[in-house]
Formats: sequence, C-alpha cells, structure tokens
Amino acid sequence: MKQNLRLAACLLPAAALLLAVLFARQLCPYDPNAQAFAALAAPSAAHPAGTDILGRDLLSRILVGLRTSVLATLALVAAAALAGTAAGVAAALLGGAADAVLMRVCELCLAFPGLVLALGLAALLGGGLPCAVLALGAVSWPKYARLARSRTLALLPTDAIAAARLAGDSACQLVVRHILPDVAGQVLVTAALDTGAMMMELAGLSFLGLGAMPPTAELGSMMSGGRSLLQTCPWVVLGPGAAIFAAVAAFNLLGEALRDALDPFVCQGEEHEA
Amino acid sequence: MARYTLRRLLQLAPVLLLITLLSFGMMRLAGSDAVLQRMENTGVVVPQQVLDAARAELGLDKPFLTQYLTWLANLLHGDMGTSYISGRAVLPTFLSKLPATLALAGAALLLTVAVSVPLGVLAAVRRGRAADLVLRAAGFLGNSMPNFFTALLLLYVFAVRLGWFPVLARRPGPAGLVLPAATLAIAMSARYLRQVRAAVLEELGRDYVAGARARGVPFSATLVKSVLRCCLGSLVTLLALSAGSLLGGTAVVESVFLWDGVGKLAVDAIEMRDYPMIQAYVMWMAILYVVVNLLADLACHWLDPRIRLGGGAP
Amino acid sequence: MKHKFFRPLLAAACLALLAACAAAPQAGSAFVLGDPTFSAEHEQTGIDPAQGYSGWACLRYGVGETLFRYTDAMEPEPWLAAGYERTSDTTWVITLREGITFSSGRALDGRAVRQSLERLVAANARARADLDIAAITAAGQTVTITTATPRPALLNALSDPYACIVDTQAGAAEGLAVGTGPYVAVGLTSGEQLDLVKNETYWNGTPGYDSVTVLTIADTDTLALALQAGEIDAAYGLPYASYPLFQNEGYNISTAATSRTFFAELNFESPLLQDPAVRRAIALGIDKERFVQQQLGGHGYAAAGAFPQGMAFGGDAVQAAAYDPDAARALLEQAGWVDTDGDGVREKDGQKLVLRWLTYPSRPELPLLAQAAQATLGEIGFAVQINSTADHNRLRADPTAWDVYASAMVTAPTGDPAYFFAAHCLDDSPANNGHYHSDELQALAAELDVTFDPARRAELAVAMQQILLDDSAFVFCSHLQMSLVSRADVAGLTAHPSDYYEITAALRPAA
Repeated sequence: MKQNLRLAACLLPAAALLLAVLFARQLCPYDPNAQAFAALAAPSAAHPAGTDILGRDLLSRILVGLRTSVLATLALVAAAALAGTAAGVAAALLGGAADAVLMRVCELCLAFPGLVLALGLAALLGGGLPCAVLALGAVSWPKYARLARSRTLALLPTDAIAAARLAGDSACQLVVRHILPDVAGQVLVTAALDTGAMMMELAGLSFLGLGAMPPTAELGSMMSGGRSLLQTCPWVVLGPGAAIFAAVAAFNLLGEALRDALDPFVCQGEEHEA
Repeated sequence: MARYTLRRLLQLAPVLLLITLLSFGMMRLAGSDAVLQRMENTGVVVPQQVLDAARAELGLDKPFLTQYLTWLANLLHGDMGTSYISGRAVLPTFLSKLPATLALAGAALLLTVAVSVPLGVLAAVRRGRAADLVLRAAGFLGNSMPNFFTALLLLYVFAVRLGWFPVLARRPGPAGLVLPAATLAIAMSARYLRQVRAAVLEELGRDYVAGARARGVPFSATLVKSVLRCCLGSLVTLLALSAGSLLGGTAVVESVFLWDGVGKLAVDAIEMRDYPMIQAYVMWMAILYVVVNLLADLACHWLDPRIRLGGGAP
Repeated sequence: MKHKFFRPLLAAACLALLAACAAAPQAGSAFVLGDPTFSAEHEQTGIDPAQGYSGWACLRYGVGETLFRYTDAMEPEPWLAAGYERTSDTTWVITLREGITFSSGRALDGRAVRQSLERLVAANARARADLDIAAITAAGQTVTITTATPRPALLNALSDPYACIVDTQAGAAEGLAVGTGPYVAVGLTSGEQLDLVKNETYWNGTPGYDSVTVLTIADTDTLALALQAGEIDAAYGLPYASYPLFQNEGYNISTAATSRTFFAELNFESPLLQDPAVRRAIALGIDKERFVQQQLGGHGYAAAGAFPQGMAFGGDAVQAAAYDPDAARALLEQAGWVDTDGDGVREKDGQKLVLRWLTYPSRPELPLLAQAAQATLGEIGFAVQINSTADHNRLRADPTAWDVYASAMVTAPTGDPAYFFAAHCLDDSPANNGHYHSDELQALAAELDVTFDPARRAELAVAMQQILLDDSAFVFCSHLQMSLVSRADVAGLTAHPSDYYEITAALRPAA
C-alpha cells in the first residue's frame, strides 16, 4: 500500500506535466503570440504571470513554451540515451577493435564543441529546433555510451551472467534479459537528471538563432532573453524558471519510479553517471 | 598496463586528425567569416576591395583543402597560427587563459565535494525524513537553474547588496574565485548529492553494516571508515568526467564574472569565425577527453580489477 | 576617571581620521569607465588609430584628437586645425593651431601631421580608401593634402577616429599611441583594461581627473551590477532594461541619437516584392513608434530616413510612410491581394502573401523588431516567417533565401551621407543585399561624388533618401540611442551623436 502511494506520488507530477503539454493550447488564457497588452506589466489578476517585452501574456507563453521545451528535450534525451546505450552495450560485448573504435568516436563527439556542430548543421539543414536537437544529441550521446559500457563491463563477470551463459543463452537473450534491465535503470536516472541542463543548452543555441525561431515560445530562451530584466521585471525570468523547475522535478520523479519498476530487486540501486 | 596506456595515447593521433578536419569543415559550412563578422560588430560596411584584401591576408580566399593542409603543415612545425581577430599568436594566447580555467575548475570541484558529500550522507542516513526531502527538492532547484541566473543572483546578493565580494574580480585571487566557483558548484552539487546519497544507501544496505552495528561499533565510525570508502569509486569516476567538461571552460560564468578562461575564448572565437583559435580549442578538448577517459578507465580497473580494460588486454 | 584616559585617545583618533581624509585627494582623483566594446571582437585591440577600429578607443577615451571634429550636427569643424582652404578639387591646405604639443612634449606641426597620416594610410586599408591621398606635404604649421580623385567628404574623413594625430616618433608601446588629448595612455591589457593619466600640458583646458581607467566588461548585466556596486564610475552601452535602476538622483544619464540605424532592406529579386503595392504595404505596416516606445522602452528614436534628426539631411527632412494599416490593406486589396480562403493571409494568383524576414540575434533589438513587424504586418494580411540566425551573413548573399533583411548598421560613420548610399544602395555597393537599382539614384550619387558645397550635398542626400522611400526599397525603423550613465559625483560625461568624444577635458568630479 505504502509502495503504491509512493509510486503515485512519483507519477502524479509527471502526469500533470503530460496533461499540461498535451493541452497547452487549450489551457492558454490568451493567444500566446498576440501582442495585445501593455509591455512588461507586472503579474495581475488578468495576467497571473505578467506580460513580456512585446506585450504578450506570459502565462500563455509559459504553457506553450513548456510544451516546446519538454517535447524537444524529451526527443533530445531519448535519442541520446538510446543511441548511447546501444553503442555502449555493443562496445562492451564486442570488445577488441570494435570497442576501441567506438570509444574513440565517443571521445571525438564528446570533445567536439556543440556550437560548432550546430552552426554547421544549421547551414546544412536550415536551422530551427530540430537542427538544434540533432546537434546537441550528437555531442551528448557519448555520456550514455560510456555509462552503458561501464555498467555492462561490471555485469559481465558476475555470477548471474556466467550462469546464463552456461544455460546456453544467446548474446541477444543475454542483453535483453540481464544487461538491459540493469543498464536501463541507470540510464533513465541520468537522463532525468539531464533534462534541466538540456533545456538550457537548447536555449543557448536559440540565443544564436540556431534553435527555436521567434515567436515560438521556449522556456530556456524566455529565461535567457529576459536576463537583463532580472532586477527590473523579475517575473519575465522567474515564470519560465519555475516552469523549468517543475518539469525537471517531474522528470526526475518519473525517472526514479521507472527505474524501480524496471529493476524491482534493487529497491535503492546505486546511480552511476558518466 | 603501461602498454595499454601507451596504445590509448597513440589512438589520440587519429582522433585529433579527424576532429580538426571536422571542425574545419563545419566552420566553413557555417558560412560567414572573420572579415564579415568584424564588419557586423562595427556596423560599418567597408569597400569590396578592402574586404578582399582582408580575406587574402588571412588566406580565406584559398580552397578549403589548401587551407586545412596549410594549417596542418604549420601545426607539424609547431606553429598554430595567429588569431584572425586579435592578430596574436594562438598558442600563447590559449595557454595564457588556461591557469584561470584550471583554478576555477579546481575550486568548483572542491566546493562541490565539500558540499555534496556531507549533505549526501545526511540525506541517505535520514532517508525519507524532512532533511532528505528538503535536500532532494533543493537538488531539483539546483538542477533547473541556468548558470547565468545563479551567477547574476549571487552577484546581486553578495556583491551589490551585501558587498562581501567585488563584482569585478579581475585580479585572480581567492576573493574573486568564490562566486564563480559557487555558481558552478550549485549546479554540480545537485547531481553529486544524488549520487552520494544513492551510493551510501546501497552500502548501508549491506550485511557488514548490520554486522558492525551488532558488534557495537559506533555508527559514525562505520560510516566514515567503511561506507564512505566504498562510495569513493563512483565519486572518483564522476569527478574525472566533470573535470573534463569544466576544463573545457564555462563561457557563461566566465563572461559574467570576467573570469578570463578558455570557455569565453572559445565561444568568442566560434562566433567571430576565428578558425585558428577554434582549432586550438578543439585540439585541447580532444586531448582533454582522451586523457580524462583514460584516467577514468584506469581508475575503474584499479578499484575493481574484474573490469576488463578496453581491447581485452588488461 | 575613565574619561581622562579616553579623551586624548579620542582626540588622537579624530586627528588620524582628519589626516586620512586630507590625504585622500593627494592619492589622486580616479575615474573608472566600463565599456563592453573595447575588445578585439569589436576591432579595438588597443588605441593605435592605424589598427582596425582602435582609433575609436583613441578618440573616445581622450588620448587622440583629430584635425577636425564633429559638431552636434555631425559636421566637421576645426579642432587641431585652425582652418583650411581648398585650392582645387583635389588640394586642401590645412593650417594647424599654434602651441599644441603631444603628450611626449613634441610640438604639433605640419611634419608631425604628415608623418601621422602617412603612417595611417600605409597601415589602414579603410582609411586609404576613404582619404585617397596622392601626396602630403608639410611646411611649418601647414599641411597640404592632395587627393587622387575629388574627395568632397575629406574633412569628414579627417574627423574619423582613424585620423587621430599621433606622435609617430614617440615610440609608443604596442597597441598604444601618443596623442594630444587630455589623457595619456600608460598601460594596456588588450581586451581588459586601459590605464590613462592626466595630460599635464593639455592645450585646451585642465583635465578633471588625475587618472582614468577603462575596463572592458563584455557582459552588460555585469556592467550594470558593477555600476550599482560603485566599482565603476560610469558605464557605456548599458542594456535599456537596466535604465530604471539608474533613473534616480544617484546617477546622471546622458543620451544621444546615433546614426546606427535599424532598417529593413527589401529584396528586389524576390518575385513577391516586384509588386510595388506589396513593398509599399510593408512600409505602411510597421509601427515604428510602438516599437520604440514599447520594445525599446522609449530608448530610441523612430526613423524616417537613413539619418537621425540633428543632421542637416536627417530626420524629418524626408517624407516616410507613417504607420497606416488601413491604407496598407486598401493598397493590397487594390493590387489584387485578397484573403479568399479566410485564413488571415492574402493571396493572389494562388500565391500566398508570405514574407520571409531574415535578421540576426547579436543585436537583441532585431528579433524584437521582427516580432513586432510580424504582428502588425499579420493584421494587414501578411504571413511573416522570421529567420533570426547567426548564419545571416551567408543567407543575405543568397537572394532566393529571404524577402526582407533587417540589420543594424551605421549609416553615417563620418557624418557624410555618401557613405550610406555607396555601401547599401548602388549597383556596385558591397552590401546592396536586395539588388536594388534606380537610374535616378545612380545619377544623383554620381553628382554627390563631385559636389563640394555642403548645402547642395544635403539636398542631394535628402533627394536620394526620398527615392529609396518612394520606391519602398528600404524601411528605416529606428535610430539607436547611445547613452553614458555616470554616478552623480561625476560631471561632464556627455553622449555625443558621433558616439566618440566620451572622455574629454570637461569630465571632472562634480563640485
């Protein structure tokens, strides 16, 4: 019973976030792009989060911005985590030259400045949010690859794997039954922890015009775009900041719940990160 | 072990070759060049012949491959070229920014460990209690605050309101180091705290802790002598990797605190299309990551010899 | 009993305090200016006027002075020069003021000026192109400049910061320069700091501070915080958003309209913009006043033409379309652009009225302008797609990639109008991105090139801007407000329309 309560407490924020993302448009009190109000008005009954410098309702922009940011971040983190896990597990199992090559590619991508990659990709693909997601994904998957590889390497010498091998499990079965459940838990928690940072990374590229295009609302850019207003009109920064905090908390709680569900035998597993 | 290390370091060469070629290519793809970027910043259009002369002077009128090979040939002679923007030699400029980056990275890591280890242990020991919940919430907060926000907030409170620190910490010194290091440490501590908490919890669940308790060993002694020692492994791995990204520079923090490190240098160079400077940065990053990853692998092997070193030859 | 011991102690302490107070001024009055642009990224590696745009720093920070300086109307008036005489279309005889010395002690004479200018044109391609000097001769206090072609704007060019007269024989350290200004440069860390001390032998008044430090603070939020904390005495280029912090008795704000202008170029290669009605509708459909009042918080000036009010040919001298959405709608309607499918966007012959607006984010006002225009043009029936990207320098060269290109460029860096047209509007202009062409404009530009009379030049400049506006080739939106914010205990820090003369002999501690 207590377990279920805990799980519900973990899933509730994520469910609320999901609803907010799905029905962002319907929840908006105003058109998020309508420049229909006084610029930089403080929060009031009509505009609970105030208005921005173009006279747009901030609550509406935070809601649609949350949608943009959450979807983009999910795509980014999911792609990086999947690609990284696949590469890491493969490197660990194959060993030898394949391992060395994969790991050198990892280092290459890890060391490559995301900004340079984003600039190049923007020229090739025409910029926009998908391009920013691709560029950041390309430099962030190695983290997961290293994590998955080290977990897999740590698992290989254990008794469970030896027993499974003796029982005649194929490599595929080995991966699906024994390695992935363990690795996925770690990857999920790391991915959840990454969401906040990734939202800001996306904003960093938007700042150079390589991410979401105006007037698209996106939380990170709303925050960094308002930085000069921090002292004079703090609501412009704090509103989107609170939304990022809520999203990060929801993602992290969800990550923990998922890990517990995936790996029921470890009630409090260690959390490794690369 | 020595042979393995040597082989890993030899593998650095192709990584360097590839990464420099890639970044060279990407920057060309990105369009614009140093001459146009300078024009954008000054807001003054110069006559075409002046533009052409400036490009010819920098060799930007040559084909891509010629430019790369020229750069490579010069590199092999120990010449990394001169900056397109400042006109100064790249290598000394780059090296002059390293001490600041090293100091900031070191301070930030120290501060992170000093904050997150005790708090992580506290959260683990008081698991599920108020202290744990507060710390976890604080962790989410630290995780969702962008660097510029933390930085400006700290400056406002501690420099402008309280006057404890100067806003302009230009002279390298301990007083100027505190706020930038704290900015970085706040974000990192949020992650480390969770790692430490989880690692300590796992150890606390082991039989030897219960055994020690049964034998009447004080809990604090078990905690410090056994539990923390066992958690050291995951902490070291984590620290090595954080060091990697910190040593790559932290442009936003460096910019806000006027901390003259490689991060801002790199971002400025990329924005200004200062190709030789970008190449130096990319090489530094590649060397850094190869070395840091090697150290991490060696440390993992040392802490847990069952883990095989890459290439199957421990 | 106790008091007996304390009184002498108290007296001693008071004396010590008094002595400390009296000693403070002896340590020298110091002034610290924060500037986000004094760096290599802004082509100012130091203050040597021959290098890139370092002359800006040389002139701004009161080290160098030019033969002529800009008045508030941006017209050249004698400064180091006492007067001049143009003896032919290509020959200028300039007489120098008597009794001026460089801070090195050397007297300013014709020979020194010749050496300084010769060094300049040898090193600086931009100056070489502007001045077009064939020969310079010096005799006593006169300098005779012969240009290769007629240069009506020679005096404007001689007022440009690159033409700061420096002592070429003083052996200035790398990046530094020895000039005639109120302050003497004694130390430089490129991109970080410039140290100046008072020029004890300054010819035109007594400098107000014993020492001046210019700090490069690239982050403008840090700049604002440093001014709040009192670590700097004044700041240049603060973000508009921080002005409310300084609009009180603790600070002075001095502002001026500069010729850095936010303007949109229309692409004449774009099929859509071949239609004059569409171009005109764009010009009618941008609410410049609202942009200046709301997005710039009133810290800017709505533009009519290319040049700001205050210049003879600037501001209201030209007739620009005022914001008039109804007129724009009627115009489009008349031209056959009608919204038939009810989606809010007009069509004609199956083509939607979609406008691709290219701009860049390094000037934060530009994306705001794009979004403001998107909203007002949207009400008229345009669908504006914004592409605000650091990649704009590549894209603007591709005429198929955009319809409108909005940028922020200086339109009259030397106060002379010819520059803007030569840079942006003529057939051979390096930045005529929209491939605009007008026979009439070409003819007037040719006339401007050989017209010396300032009044006639102004007339021509007005007529040429009017052609651009009548063709709706450019939409000039606003002029940048340049500002200097100083603490109340500083006097004489005044913003100038040229964006140059910042640190002058007038700068001093407030009485």
